[in-house]
Amino acid sequence: VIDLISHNPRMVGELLSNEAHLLDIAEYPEWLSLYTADAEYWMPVDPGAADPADSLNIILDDRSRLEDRVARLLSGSAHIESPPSVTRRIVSSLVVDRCAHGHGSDLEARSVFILVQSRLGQQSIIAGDYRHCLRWEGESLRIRRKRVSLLERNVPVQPFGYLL
Amino acid sequence: MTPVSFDGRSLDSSCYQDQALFDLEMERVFRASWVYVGHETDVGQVGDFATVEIGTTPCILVRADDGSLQVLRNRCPHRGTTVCQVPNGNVKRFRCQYHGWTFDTRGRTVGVTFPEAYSQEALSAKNLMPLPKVESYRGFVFASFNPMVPSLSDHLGPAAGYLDRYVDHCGQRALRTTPDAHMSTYPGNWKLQMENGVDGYHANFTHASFFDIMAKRTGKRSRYITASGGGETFDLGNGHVVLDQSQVASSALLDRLMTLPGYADAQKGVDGLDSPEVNRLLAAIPGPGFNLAIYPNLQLIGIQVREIVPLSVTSTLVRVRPLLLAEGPAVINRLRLRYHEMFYGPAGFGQPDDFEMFARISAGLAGNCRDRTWFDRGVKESNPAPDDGIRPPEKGQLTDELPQRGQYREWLRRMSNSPATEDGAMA
Repeated sequence: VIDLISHNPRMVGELLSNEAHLLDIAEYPEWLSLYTADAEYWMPVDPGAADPADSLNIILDDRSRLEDRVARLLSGSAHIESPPSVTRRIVSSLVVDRCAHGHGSDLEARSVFILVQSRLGQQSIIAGDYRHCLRWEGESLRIRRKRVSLLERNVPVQPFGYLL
Repeated sequence: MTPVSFDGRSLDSSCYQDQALFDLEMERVFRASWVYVGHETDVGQVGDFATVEIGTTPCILVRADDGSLQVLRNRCPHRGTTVCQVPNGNVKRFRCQYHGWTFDTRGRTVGVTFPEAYSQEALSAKNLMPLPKVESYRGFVFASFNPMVPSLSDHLGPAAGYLDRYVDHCGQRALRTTPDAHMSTYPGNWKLQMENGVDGYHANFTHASFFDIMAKRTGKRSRYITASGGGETFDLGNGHVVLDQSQVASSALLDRLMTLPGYADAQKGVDGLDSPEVNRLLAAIPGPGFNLAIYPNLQLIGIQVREIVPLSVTSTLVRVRPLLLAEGPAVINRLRLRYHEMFYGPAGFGQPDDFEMFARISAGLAGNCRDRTWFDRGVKESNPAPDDGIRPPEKGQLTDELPQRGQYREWLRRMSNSPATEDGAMA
């Protein structure tokens, strides 16, 4: 049995970079292919929330809802993204560990993101933390769960339709 | 003030942009009457507080040491420093960190540092200025700067009946708010959100993407409304209005539950509840089926409590949170949370598109060409001229702009400060 953690931080980094790239160039169907069939995407209101089920969330998507989100974004009738935002993000400070809740070989990747969003000439900066739970599917590493935490609780968040 | 700002059918568009008018609104629309400041469950225990706003004035809603609800100014009486920086918490005392003065939960000054340099008289009136009026109705707390304001029940009038239906929509089960809220600001005037929360005309268009998703997921194309049929609007007086779909929309709303993660599990049963009760609670997840707007800053939509907070003439904060069952069960509350998150919040499938429309309206207002904004959909020639001040609750079709006309009639009444004004003028 290989030591998954010591052998794969580079693979994890590439996956996260690839995800960031696909989101920034708005290749959403390909982005979805990075996720497992039972994926969960979570963005809590409270960055310190421990459990999504009993919290008020900005996003708590299962795979179906995530596909709905992408479909809405691509439909042309999500007015908040018409015209669409353009984003560029930097994902860094990556730390890879075993995933405490998951299969034995699941990995947890913690990282920091800084994203610049531009729409109609107005730019905003959004920063926060990513926490990915990654799962091996054959030779591929897929995203089983992604948690996006913003920096502060109880502050206004600008409405958005693009994906963090 | 702008002449003929509202003529019963249209509004002078500068009412969304005029700074002097906005300042007058803060006085006459917000400080002169009742304003919603929070839910009793936000401040359940002695010392619990939440920072709130009356118009643009920062205040603190607090459960005082005698159990009473108080609304205090968030402003040290000495130099004006805010005494509370966080949105909620629990305290024994508020303390101004500038010169160290302390205040109890009823707003009384209990500690002045080095007080010997003050006379008794100099300190006697210096406190956190508790608002003269705080009343609650079925858990909803309202406050006023105006000591002469009529009772809350007079102010609510027939709207109280809708509030009752809202509070009772889960039978005898008590409700509570979530500790967190979805909060967003938009670049536009506060009245745009007041209009929109009871606008039965926009949904098919502004929210087309949401209905498409629901059609795909449920296999049923259940548009929110048709042009004429289904649902009613009522002007309940004093600016309170309602858009009522409770008789027509329930099956479409229930279909949406199927798309929620965890719904199938809940249908199989909930520990400790018989299945008719489970079914009742599931059926209640979309709420009582109407949008109630309590003038000027509260909207109850589905299971949601929405607060509208003016920040400036062209900037508004909106705070929304779902009501949950105070005693659980968790399975049902989780579905209530998921139902709310589906449409609302900064990344919901509905609310962001409303905000985009507010931004577009603000963009369209640029230039201040003294245009008019129209609310004449469904005006009937037989209707009596507006601003007579005495008329029975008016009723219209779902897509009529009757609710907006009701809001602006009250707005004009307050802004004109006429003697017939329900709430009177501030002394």
